[in-house]
Amino acid sequence: MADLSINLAGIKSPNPFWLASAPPTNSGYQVQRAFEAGWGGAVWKTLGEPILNVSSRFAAISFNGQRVMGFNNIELITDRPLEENLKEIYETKKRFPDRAIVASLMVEPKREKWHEIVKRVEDVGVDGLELNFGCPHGMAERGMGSASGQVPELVERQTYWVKEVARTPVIVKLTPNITDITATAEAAAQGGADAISLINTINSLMGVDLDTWNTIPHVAGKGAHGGYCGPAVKPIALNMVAECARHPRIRIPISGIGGISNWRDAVEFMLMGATGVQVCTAVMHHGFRIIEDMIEGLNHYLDEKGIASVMDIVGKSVSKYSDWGDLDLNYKVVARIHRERCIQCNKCYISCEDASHQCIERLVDENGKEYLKVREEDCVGCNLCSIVCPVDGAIEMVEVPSEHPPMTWNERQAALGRLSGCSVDIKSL
Amino acid sequence: MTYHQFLREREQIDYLIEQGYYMKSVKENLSGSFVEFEKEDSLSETRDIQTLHITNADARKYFSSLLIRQLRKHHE
Repeated sequence: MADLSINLAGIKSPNPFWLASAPPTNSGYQVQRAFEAGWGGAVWKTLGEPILNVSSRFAAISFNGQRVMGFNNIELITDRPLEENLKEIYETKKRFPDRAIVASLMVEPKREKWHEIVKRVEDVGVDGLELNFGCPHGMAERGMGSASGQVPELVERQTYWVKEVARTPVIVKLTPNITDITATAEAAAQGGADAISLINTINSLMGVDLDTWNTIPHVAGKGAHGGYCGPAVKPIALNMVAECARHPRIRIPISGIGGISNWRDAVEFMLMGATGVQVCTAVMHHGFRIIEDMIEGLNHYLDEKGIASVMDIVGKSVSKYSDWGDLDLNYKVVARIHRERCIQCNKCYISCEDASHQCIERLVDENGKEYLKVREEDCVGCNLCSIVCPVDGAIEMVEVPSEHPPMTWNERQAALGRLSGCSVDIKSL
Repeated sequence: MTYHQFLREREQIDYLIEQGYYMKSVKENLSGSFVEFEKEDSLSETRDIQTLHITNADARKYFSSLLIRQLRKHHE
């Protein structure tokens, strides 16, 4: 059995699976039940001045038979008094001393407000703090959440204020509702953050009811933008984690969040630089017990690979994530259709004809049987045919050896620059 | 077919290289790449210049790979 324990900026937990700050971490009752099920940590639902919520609050997109591909909420931070939450945090930490309890915090961008809440929360024994600069709805209109998180100067300043008094590690949770997330991640690092977590939810409108013309969800006939999460956002989150992980000025640990539903997703985030992961939508869909499969799956994966500690996989794929200009232009793959597996549905043919390079031919063999064949010299290796093919293994993407050594766009442009007399380092060619 | 266009343009490039031309300059615009080849005749001390208009994407990759090889060779 591999060692699943992690240490994220000094916050230790027996496994990398934490519950994200959200409805599943709203109370001591829930967090304690989650810990009983096996979760390694929990980020307590955001504390601040208690708010008023609306009804209804959630909506989901189901796609092609899969429920809750994407999820949206217009719920705000905790609606319970701080004292009540602190009492339950204290009790939970006492019962589960080995689990990580991180308090999510959100207050106005005022120094004394941050100092007050940090001191009160740390007094009950939390293992760390997570500053919520991410929620896009409700609190943002009051200058908090993503309203702060979209302004690097505010992120840096508020992180600095927290670090002035904090005794536990400070994680800054980032909003994806920004052009370049590394700008705010760098600001957090500049402000002294011990770690960053990402992503918070994405601005969204889930839908419109075609009969009533109301938004989904609606509150007495009116709607508002909400925060989008769930499996649909995973690729967006993974990219943002990777961008932060490979950034030379963001040298702090990352807690990965965004559509993580199983151990495979968690491994992907950790390979791309996350020291641990936070989960919410999958728990809202399936309950706390999904942790059993996550732990078991991760253990098997590590054992099969002969990896002793889950910390050993952190960041192992970061160097493989680069810029387009560094990709090899001479690398080539082509599609190959395996006739024995092809069911002649023609989906690949249609896709290639309409959206790619018209390189699949419909032929007839000597027995009069129709078959599909890729004209490999015209295939650009775009993958579309293999993506739309409904039969696993019927279309294979095969690497074609190149007669030329690797050549990137950047190298090509450097060579053109040399011809035109621009100064270019020959070693880059 | 695109592939045939690539073959045509590659043949033109190869022909000039085989004749002793080397790439002198490349100008790129909305119409593609205009590659200027030059050959020096040491006996007559003249220079012959040929320009190819390369429109095919694979052919642009092709001459680029040759260009890098040419520059490396020149540097050695």
